[in-house]
Amino acid sequence: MSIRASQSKRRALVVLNYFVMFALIAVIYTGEMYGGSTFIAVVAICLTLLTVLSFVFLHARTRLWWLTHTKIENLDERQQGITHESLRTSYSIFTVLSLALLFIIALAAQDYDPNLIVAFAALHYLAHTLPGSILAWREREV
Amino acid sequence: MKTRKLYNRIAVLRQERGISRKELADRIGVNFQTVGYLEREEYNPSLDLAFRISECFGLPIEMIFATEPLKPMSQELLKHRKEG
Repeated sequence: MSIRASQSKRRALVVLNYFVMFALIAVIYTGEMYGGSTFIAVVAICLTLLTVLSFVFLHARTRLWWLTHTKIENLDERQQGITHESLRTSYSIFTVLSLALLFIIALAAQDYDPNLIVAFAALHYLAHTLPGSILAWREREV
Repeated sequence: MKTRKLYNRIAVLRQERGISRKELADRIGVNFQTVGYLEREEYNPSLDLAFRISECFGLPIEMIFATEPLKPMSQELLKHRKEG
């Protein structure tokens, strides 16, 4: 398989994996809201299987899971570079998504809860300052 | 900072010596896929890795890496002889 074809396949698996996972979450919430039924349970089981299968083909068989979870000394310099770049992008995406989710929960809460707003502000501050703080702690000169 | 593209002769040298990507990867201490990236000039090695490659082939770094497309090695040697 060519490198391009292999990359297209991996990208398709990324889309499939997240799509079935979000579909599974939606089905579980729908089931909770409208009362469970056998049909919803079957759909949830199928989606769970699809999520697991796409995860195995995308992360386990390609060793991507190992690449992003192994100790840094097990990787060569190119692998360290791409993993750092990936973690940097992931940190940004994860931070934005988590904060957006927390903000939506804070706004949607039936009873106004100032603690959620404080938590949102504190996590927002932490997300922006943490990388700089780690550099300040570790590096002799920046 | 955007880095410059580096050109190299790794693929030619490896084939000349009849060693596989896996063997070269083991000798220079990287993953075999990284050798592929180096040969396709899609990855610029660190100075440490460049030295390891140069030691592995027994050639000076400037004979293996350059910032401009490399001419065939025979042409380079001829040029050196004429200059010498």
